Amino acid sequence: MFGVTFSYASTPVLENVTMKVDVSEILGIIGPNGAGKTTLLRCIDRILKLEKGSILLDGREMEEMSRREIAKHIGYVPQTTSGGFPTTVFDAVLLGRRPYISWGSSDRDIEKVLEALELLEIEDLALRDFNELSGGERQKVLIARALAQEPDVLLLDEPTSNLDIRHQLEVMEIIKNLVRERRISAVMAIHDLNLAARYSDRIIMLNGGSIFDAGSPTSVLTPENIKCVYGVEAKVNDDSGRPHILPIKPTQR
Amino acid sequence: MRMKEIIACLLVMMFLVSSMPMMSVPAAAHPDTGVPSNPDEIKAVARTVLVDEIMRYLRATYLGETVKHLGRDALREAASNYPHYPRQITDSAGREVRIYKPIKRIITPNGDCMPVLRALNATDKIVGVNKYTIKNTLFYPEFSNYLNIGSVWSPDYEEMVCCSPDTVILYATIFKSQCEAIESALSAIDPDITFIWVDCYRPSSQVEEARKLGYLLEKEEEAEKWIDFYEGFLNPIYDTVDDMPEENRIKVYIECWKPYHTAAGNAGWHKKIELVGGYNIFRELTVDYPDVDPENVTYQNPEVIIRIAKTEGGYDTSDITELSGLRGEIMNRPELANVTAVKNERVYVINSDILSGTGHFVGMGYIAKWLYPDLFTNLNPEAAHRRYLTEFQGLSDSLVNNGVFVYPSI
Amino acid sequence: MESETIIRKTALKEQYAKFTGRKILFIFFLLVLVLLLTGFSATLGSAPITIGEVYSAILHRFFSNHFETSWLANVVVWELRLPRILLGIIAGTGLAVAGTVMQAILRNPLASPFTLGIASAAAFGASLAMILGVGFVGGEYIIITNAFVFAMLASFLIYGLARYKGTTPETMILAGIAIMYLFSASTSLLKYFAEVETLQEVVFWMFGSLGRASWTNITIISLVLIACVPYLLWKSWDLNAMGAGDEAAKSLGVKVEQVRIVGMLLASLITASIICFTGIIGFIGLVCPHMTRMVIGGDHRFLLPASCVLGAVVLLGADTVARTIIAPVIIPVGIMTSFLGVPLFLYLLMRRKGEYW
Repeated sequence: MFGVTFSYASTPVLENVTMKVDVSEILGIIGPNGAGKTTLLRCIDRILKLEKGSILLDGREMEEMSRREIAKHIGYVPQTTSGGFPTTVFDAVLLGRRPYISWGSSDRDIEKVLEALELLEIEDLALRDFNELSGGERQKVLIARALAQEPDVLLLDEPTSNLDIRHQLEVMEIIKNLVRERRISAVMAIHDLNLAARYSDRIIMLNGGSIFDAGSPTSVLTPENIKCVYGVEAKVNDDSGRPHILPIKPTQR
Repeated sequence: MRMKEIIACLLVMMFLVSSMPMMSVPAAAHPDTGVPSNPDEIKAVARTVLVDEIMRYLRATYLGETVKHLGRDALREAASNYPHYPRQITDSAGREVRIYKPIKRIITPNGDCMPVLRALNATDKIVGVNKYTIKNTLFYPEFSNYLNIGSVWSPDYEEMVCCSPDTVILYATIFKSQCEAIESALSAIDPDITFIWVDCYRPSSQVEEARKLGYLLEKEEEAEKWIDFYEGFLNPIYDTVDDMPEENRIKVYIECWKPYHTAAGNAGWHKKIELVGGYNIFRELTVDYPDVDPENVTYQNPEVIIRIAKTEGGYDTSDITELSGLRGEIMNRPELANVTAVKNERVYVINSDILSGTGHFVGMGYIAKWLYPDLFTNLNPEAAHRRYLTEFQGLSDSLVNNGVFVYPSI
Repeated sequence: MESETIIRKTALKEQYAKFTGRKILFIFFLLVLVLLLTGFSATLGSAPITIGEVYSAILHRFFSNHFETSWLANVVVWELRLPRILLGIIAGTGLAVAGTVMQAILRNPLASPFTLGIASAAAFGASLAMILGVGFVGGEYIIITNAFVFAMLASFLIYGLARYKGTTPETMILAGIAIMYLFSASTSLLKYFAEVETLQEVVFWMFGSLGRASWTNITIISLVLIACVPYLLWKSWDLNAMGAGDEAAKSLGVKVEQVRIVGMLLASLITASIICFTGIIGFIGLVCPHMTRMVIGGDHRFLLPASCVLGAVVLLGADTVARTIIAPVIIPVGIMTSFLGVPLFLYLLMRRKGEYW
């Protein structure tokens, strides 16, 4: 991904962001509110149109790919939504097969859905109404849907927001295992610096629409960076090779 | 002061009582309608009303009773107009209407009274007319510059007040709530305004209302002349069909405005057609203008079909194809192909201009002729139409020549 | 462990197949209901013809050698009852499909074929013809063409606004409301200047009625449905995806803007082509999709056909009652659909456990 620029109504949100994701890698994107994390994910999935720059997928220019084709390669997990028309979990996940089918669903599609449900251990929810689920269950359903797309890249927008600690860890473990086992890449926008530190292979720190720093969690999550980007004084401890951040207080502006 | 008034009143009373011997014993008012028809009857009513008003005034002023009564000046004026006034009728809404002096300024939210006022030669008293009258320049050319008081739904109270009317003519049996609203709004502004509730478009009350208006407007002679003409045309028809047994009457299907929309219940068109001897196949229905099941028409097999057209034909067009097209459409309906009316080609189209308002008698004449051509060979609705326009409406009968009203023509 | 998973999977698969089977069964059940209702409705009416005569008249058309028919039976069945029944079926179908599509593309439970001001635009067009006699063509088709053209004009206005301002549901609904008010105000203005009888005509037009049924208008509406409905069915998945939100739909490969615009235009076209003949029949398009969704869920592959058939059932049922309950008077069908549909709708709403919305 090179020199990506994007604006909402002439207010630039992303400027000249260049990055790269490897196979079987979890790339964490962190940054304060409004830094452009979600926008970056949407640009990658071409939900938003780039103003400048280009994105290569396996060496192919994404600009030239159809929406359906992109959907076969990239799975996007939006922040948990609620509301909308009632639908069962099974059908919600089956939606992930949409890039592959035109009207009828084949056995293979059903198989893939079951696989995804099983992987996330939510088979028992299959015929429940999506809207009646808890936040954590919904998050899992949305991930299952993205998996049913059989993607090479998984984009996750705040996969742990609104979840309790147990669900946060469960979801993150699932993502970690998926990336290892299926040799896919994951890009996730995430607020929780400790979860980012613990599960990301590399971290990109965004600030004001451009990359402030990038690299391994240890190299990016330094007290200096945090102070500069978030305006927070923090203590960073070493927790068996991963940094552990302990925020102390906001700095004087 | 008080004493003086009492004396004045007593004097008035004495005057009235003293005038009694001068009156011949008043004949009962008009036998049909209870409307005074000669000077003596007028005077008798005036006396009764004036005595009543004086008593009301006295009771209210000296006995402290709460009764509706005239003010002192008004009473004095009323007395001064005696014996021509006060005049009193019960209008078509059952309300008692009293007037104490000649009517001078009329406004007409009820536009249907316009032809009657014309027939009574009383249009010089009109000061404001409704918007439909103004818009209809063909039939009401002389009113196009009058003040526009709106309509019963959307009355323009400011214009009404600008007219400073002494009399407002409202509808008696339709638009009740709208008319009540107009009455309460205007009487709040000027409590002396007289409200007359009449319809002027119904055959059943046409004569009575004309007579009452004639009396209130001092146009008794004109009223009788108009009534003679109106009854002279319709009564022979009524006389012929009244005794006709039901089973001999012609079965009619009435179609208003659009396919399978009929008239029944209290609908005017239903009544007008039955008045001239038609037997409406939907007479039992209680809805006034219902949509009906087409197959029911087929099944009831009417002998005559009468289609009432609204936008097609009328005074404003001379294109007969508008009416003949409607007839053709009915004649070509597959479901009616075997119906007697269609097989015998007894399908007639009539424009509502001559079946509504005061001119309804013209249309009724045509329908009578269509239903019973043998009984009404001498009936000439077109001649009546012409006479109505020229003699009673002050219009030219070129309106008849330039319009189309019925198809097929007789 | 492994075999246990397989068993569980098979069980789930079966469960899902059953779930799907139920939906198909429901559609099938409704189809049978439409057929029965058609057969029943054809025998009802004020003409004195027996059930046997009705069916002989129907069969006579196909096997004239084997079945006798009278003129009355033939004309009543073929010229009056069947056109009315068929118009009820296709109008119900069309309004329901338009409603389902509108709710899906606008992601709004209160959307209906009329959300975007289509009905008030059509009413304005019709009033223009009835009150002022102004229209695109003259003669007997003036009201129909006016209603149709103005309904489509409304949807193209929305399309224009959406292109300019973005095709989000919110923009389109708000634009629709604005257009609705504009046209109803214009209609009121026309009515203000109208005469009594004309006003009544406008009121009657707005009630909606199947009384104007003819083989011609049935053919026209059918052609529109045949042209539009398969496309919408084919896009079922896209409609499903849009239910999950625009971003999610895009990430699933759906051309959201395109589907929304095309869906909106097709739903408008269907609606316009129906209401220009029938007048405004409002209830079907709003409520049939909900009733169907309560029974078989929100998968548009099944929801679309099922609510089509339910629309046909409700409209045909309502019209059958409307023309027989106080025969020979025919009550406007728009009134009857609400009287019959609302209790059914409330029953479904109450019976559902938990929140529907």
